[in-house]
Amino acid sequence: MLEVNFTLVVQMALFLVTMFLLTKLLFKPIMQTLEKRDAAIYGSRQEVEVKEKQFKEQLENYHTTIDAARRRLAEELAQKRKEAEAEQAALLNKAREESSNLLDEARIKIKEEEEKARIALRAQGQLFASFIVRKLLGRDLLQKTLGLLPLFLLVPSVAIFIFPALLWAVTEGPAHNGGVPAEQYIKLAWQIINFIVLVVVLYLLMRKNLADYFVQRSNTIGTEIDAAQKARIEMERKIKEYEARLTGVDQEVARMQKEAQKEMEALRQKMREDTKRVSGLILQQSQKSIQLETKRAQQALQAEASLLAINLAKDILKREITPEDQTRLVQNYIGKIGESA
Amino acid sequence: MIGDTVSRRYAKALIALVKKTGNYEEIGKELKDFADLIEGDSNLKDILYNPTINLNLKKDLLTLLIQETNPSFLTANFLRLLLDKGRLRNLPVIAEIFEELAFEALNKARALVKTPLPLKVHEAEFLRLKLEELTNKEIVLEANADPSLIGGIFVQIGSTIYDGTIKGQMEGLKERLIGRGGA
Repeated sequence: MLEVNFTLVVQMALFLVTMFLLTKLLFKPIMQTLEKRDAAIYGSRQEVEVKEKQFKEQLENYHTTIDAARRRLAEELAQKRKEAEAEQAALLNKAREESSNLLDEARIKIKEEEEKARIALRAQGQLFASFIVRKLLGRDLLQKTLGLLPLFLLVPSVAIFIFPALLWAVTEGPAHNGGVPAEQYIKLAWQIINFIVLVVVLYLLMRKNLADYFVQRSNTIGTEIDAAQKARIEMERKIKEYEARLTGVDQEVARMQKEAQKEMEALRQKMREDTKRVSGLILQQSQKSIQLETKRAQQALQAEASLLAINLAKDILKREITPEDQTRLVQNYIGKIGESA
Repeated sequence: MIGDTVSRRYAKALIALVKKTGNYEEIGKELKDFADLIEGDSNLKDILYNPTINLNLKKDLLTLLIQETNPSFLTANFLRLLLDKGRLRNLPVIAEIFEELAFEALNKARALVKTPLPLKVHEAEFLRLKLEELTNKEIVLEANADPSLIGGIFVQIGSTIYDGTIKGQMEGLKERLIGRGGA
């Protein structure tokens, strides 16, 4: 029968003392260690997560700022390129127009000169014709792109210390006695001794393993703490780096702007050079055209003058040739047939 | 072209026959006269050159013509052969080639001479002697007057041309001056 007697008080006291000792010597340090570990690990992790979030935000800000700056610069660049192209087109058009004007002026001038020359040639045609006639007839006529491990350790520990006391209290204690016989004290003393022996045995048996376990665990935790710290440090480094970059985003944007401006300047310079080169080519082409047209006009004039002189000479000859001239021409040529053969 | 080749073959064959007798000029003249006779009469051409008309009829007509013109035996047989082979229409060309081959056989050359005014006899003789000396052939002058030549003289012997006319010199001068201006 289950009975409540004084041993309950002793057992309670024993339990409380045990709990006190365990709490003081074991649970509290363990909990402190666990808390420290958690603080070290989870704290670091949380800190890392927070930092990571900050980092991502900063990174996003950074990219947003840089992207916006790039877009703006690209737009500016495109706009300036467009302006430069327009300027180039205008310059080229101007060069073409100048070239065209030059050509027109030259053509007018060539035409005028041609007319003057034609007039002069007409006069000279007469002289050239006269020369032909004299040559043919021989006589003169005219002139051209971490887990739940703390909970698993706590449940078996409480079971080891609380279960024998409760078992004794429930099965043998107060159910067999009205008072407190001496053998019961002796029995209790033996139980206490047993318990102490148990504790000692447990301590001796588990000391090494527990110590090893905790050392190993401590090492693992230490490693994890180190890793977490490293991660935090790395994250802080990155944050600092990106803070620095964010702080320097203005300089970055300014640098990009400067590069863009430099690029634009180089582009404009190249376009100016291209424009200059192309304008030069257009001008050269115009000059070549003028030279060609002048030459053609000269050739046409020469041909015209030649025809004029020849026709004049023909007319003169038809009109002026005499039977005596014919006789002399026939006799001279017959005499030369043998020589030319 | 094919016609010319065929004509040349007939002319060569006739020349080979004439070579024996040497009467190139006589045969040549008979061929030319007979060609002129047919070419000059459209009725004769319509009958003798038409392949749809009976051959015997054409033979009778040819016989009549031969009797009328009385050519040599060789010429008469040659004309009959041309009619049998359907080559009578080639007669004018054959006559020309025959004359050319006859001239070669006789070491003769024909010189076509043009002048604005008719050539005087002594000028013609002087030219003939000069050309004979140059070609080593007997020259037969065929002189014509062409006033467009303005002055001077034009002579052609086969493919060889001697142009001493004022018109020729003016054309040469024009080609050199305008050719040089165009270059």
